[in-house]
Amino acid sequence: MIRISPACRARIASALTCVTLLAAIGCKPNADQDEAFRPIAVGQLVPELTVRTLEGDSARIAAGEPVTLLHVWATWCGPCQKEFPEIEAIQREFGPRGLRIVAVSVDEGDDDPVRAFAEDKGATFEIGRDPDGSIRRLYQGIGVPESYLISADGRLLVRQFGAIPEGAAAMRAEIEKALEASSQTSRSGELKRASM
Amino acid sequence: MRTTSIISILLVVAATSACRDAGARTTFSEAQTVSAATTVGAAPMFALSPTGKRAVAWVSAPGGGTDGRLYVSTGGAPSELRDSLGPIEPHGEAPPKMAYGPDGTLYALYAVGKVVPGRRFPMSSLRLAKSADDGRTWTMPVTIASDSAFGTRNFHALHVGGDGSLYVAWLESNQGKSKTFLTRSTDAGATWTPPVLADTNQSCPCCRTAIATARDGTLYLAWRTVFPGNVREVVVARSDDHGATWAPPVRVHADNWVFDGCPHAGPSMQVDSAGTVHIAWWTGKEGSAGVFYTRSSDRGARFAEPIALGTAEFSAPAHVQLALGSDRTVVAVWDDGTVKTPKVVMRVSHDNGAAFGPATLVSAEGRAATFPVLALAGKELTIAWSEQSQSEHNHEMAMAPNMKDPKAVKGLSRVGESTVRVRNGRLQ
Repeated sequence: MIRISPACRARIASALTCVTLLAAIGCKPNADQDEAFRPIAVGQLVPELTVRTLEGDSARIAAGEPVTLLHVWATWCGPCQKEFPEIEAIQREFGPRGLRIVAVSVDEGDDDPVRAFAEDKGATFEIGRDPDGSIRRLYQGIGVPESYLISADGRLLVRQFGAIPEGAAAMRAEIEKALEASSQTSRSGELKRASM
Repeated sequence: MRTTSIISILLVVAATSACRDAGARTTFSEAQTVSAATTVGAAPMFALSPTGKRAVAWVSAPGGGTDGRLYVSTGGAPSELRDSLGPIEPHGEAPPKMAYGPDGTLYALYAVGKVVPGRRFPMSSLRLAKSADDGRTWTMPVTIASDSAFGTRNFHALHVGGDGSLYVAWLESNQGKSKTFLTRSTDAGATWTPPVLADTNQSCPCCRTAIATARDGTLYLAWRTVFPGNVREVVVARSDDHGATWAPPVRVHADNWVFDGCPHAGPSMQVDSAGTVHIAWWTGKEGSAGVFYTRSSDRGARFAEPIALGTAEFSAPAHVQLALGSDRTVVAVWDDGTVKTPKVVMRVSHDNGAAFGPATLVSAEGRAATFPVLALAGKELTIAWSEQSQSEHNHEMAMAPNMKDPKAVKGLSRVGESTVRVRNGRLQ
């Protein structure tokens, strides 16, 4: 039987703590500073992003832009094909009231198939291009289609992974709210300027 | 004091031994760029011959373009396979598949894309070629399971059964709904049975299929199905008559992941000598997203409670691959989607999948590594993956948000800037 003094016990406890910590750190094979995959969350400021459009222009998605529905899609994606008429319906309903839709295709390669698809579907909204998948990395997406409703001050209001559910009732309600908030902000800005 | 020192030393020794046990059961060589001969490469795949020979394949194209060709190497300079029908697709989720027959014939199954006059979008065709000399020369490729060259067949699997039967599975879309099909050849690919629909339910349209056979010839087919409410789960179906008819598919686990889209992440499945079905898959279910493993010891009727191999609250799609050793070893590799820059990690079970050791990093830190594949022959392990440097990755990320000029145009990136890396290992 080994008799251990209180001081000795304390030293053993310290040694044990150190060893446990060492083991915990050393045994973890990839104990690096990997940043966790975390999709952009509702309420967060979206990262500034500029995409090339099929028209040869560019579309900036960031604070200070109109209320924007950023839609990420690909020509080969079945749910995207099915969803496109809904996106067009949202454009026709809310476009005149200030909603901007930027539908960014992540198809690799040249623009021709994307252009053909958009023409075939009769899309009247902006078609962006991101063959490198930059949006997916910036927004930390899962797949296509995905849709992000972004307020005029650049905050994410809705994150929709997968197609917008048929009828898009929830999305429409959020767009209504965002447009209303945006117009109120504009009105109060105008009033301020008028009173100066 | 002396007692304290002895106890401390013993503790340190115990702790470091535990580390060695956990992390150093596999010794790896340095990673090699197997696609160096073709500058760029993507969509790697292995095949193991009955004698243990390893063939590695990848897709490359001149200048990293879209004119995909298949390159196969068994150690020396790669040979090239071109298909006159069109370019071979370098798709990570639907890579060319390879398998050796019992007589050493090497089969390659791949998807060819083509812009068809009169149609707005490219179509695809599944093509099979075979080689009697480990890929140095190939037979003329043939179209699988169709009278017409092009359709929507993709996300394919190739398997050679113990009796030499060739099995090919794929997803095919009709009026916007994908279904899973399988065909069989008993004459080395010369003729094929009419395609058999494995399940009338809709399949997730862009997740790869997997085929495995047991020693008694029982055939298993795995894919991601779409349950009502767009719940996307992995299922396994069993056929006792070589794919002519199928039992209703069984859900391996109720992940309850709802997603109406294309995640590009199908399952991997193997069957061991005792008939146990091993399967691994990825789910995007928030709160418990990532890679899981489970097994069935009753011919796929029920699956055990899954083991989380690598999960977090969120995970980008990960692509897991399983391999079985002869000594109850189960190896799983995948591209970890729980971190921003995906990396290839591996976990090994030495008790037939009852428990797995800790994760070992296989790819290099700071590089985006995706779509790993593996081959296991005895204790010898080879893992390949597609890799992109962190600087390329960062460059792409920086380009988009930093374009201040509202009229700036972002140039098209080259297709296929990635390389294929390979690492050999030995399980201890």
